[in-house]
Amino acid sequence: MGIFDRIQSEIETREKQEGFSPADLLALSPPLRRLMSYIIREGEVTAAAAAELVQVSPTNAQQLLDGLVHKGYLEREEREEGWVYRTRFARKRGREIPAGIWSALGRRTRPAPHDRDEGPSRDA
Amino acid sequence: MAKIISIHSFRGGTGKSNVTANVSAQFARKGYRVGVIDTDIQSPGIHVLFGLDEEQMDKALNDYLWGRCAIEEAAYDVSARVGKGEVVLMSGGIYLIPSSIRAGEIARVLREGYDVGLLNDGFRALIEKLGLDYLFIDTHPGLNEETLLSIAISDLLIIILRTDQQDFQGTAVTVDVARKLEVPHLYLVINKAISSYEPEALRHQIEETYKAPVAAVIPLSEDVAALQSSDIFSLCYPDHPVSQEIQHIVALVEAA
Repeated sequence: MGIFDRIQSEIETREKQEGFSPADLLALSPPLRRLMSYIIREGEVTAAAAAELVQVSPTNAQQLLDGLVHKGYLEREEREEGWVYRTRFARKRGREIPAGIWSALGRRTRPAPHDRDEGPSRDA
Repeated sequence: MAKIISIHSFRGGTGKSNVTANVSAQFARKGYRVGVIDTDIQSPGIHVLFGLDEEQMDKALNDYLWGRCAIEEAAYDVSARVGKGEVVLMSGGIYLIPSSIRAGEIARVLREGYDVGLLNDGFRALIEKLGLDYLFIDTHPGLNEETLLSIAISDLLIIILRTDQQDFQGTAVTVDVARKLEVPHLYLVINKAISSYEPEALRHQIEETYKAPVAAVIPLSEDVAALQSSDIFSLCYPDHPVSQEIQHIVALVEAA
């Protein structure tokens, strides 16, 4: 099996996600991890650049990138030079913290002066 | 082309922020434009070493992550704040992007999370907007989203450890992650090394264990403790053995 088929097969077997987390990198095979790391590092990638990195044809690279868009790892934008792909990061989730802890902290948990009129309520 | 340097330790209390502040200040002194970003959002602290307190921090990384400002608006030129009592010529410039020390801001990050993509975009925006030669990322101890992102985008990773069995095990984890993420350059720094260890023997042992180069063996020093993070030690005491080890790190990072 060639490199394109291996990456394609790995992408197909992965679950669809609401965005990519940096922790997901550790679960990928080395070639796919290298591709995702490159996109994170560079900010965006074209099919031509991905083709050079993975050593596949530009058409195959675009297929891989579109597969990653379908799984929720990337998002794409059409520009004059063609499609450009960026990481679609999952939002870092907040933690459940026991109710009352903020009020127990007292006045220190008050919002900053310039922030008092915006955002959700601060204390549980 | 700017370089991104992440400084990490698996456990807290290794002196990570202190080493970051010292190495970055020495780069600024050599004429480079340097950025330092505190991604230890849950327990920020490096701003203290650069002489910033809560009242002086009108904006912080948190404000950028909540969409209240551009990231460069949370950057403070701290070149003139360090090296108190010494005539220190910072021929480059050093910009600190602190994390907020306000309990409410820390709580909000813990409670609501944030957009990791915005943090990644922010690193690149900082380099471009401030014209940086080096961006140093002071990370949160252990492994979390910010840490993994920082390691993934770094040109060079410095892992700080002490001569402690818990640090030894944790460092193995981080080294393994760095290798998986194919960080181009990886260095270890042994900090707070007790005097009963012979530095070269310790260096050799650690290099053998992790199969990675040791950039410095920084001795445990009461002089560093006595400064109480009120300034940049290597600027105040350039001839001290601790400062000489900092210079070893600077030389290796510059050559990488």
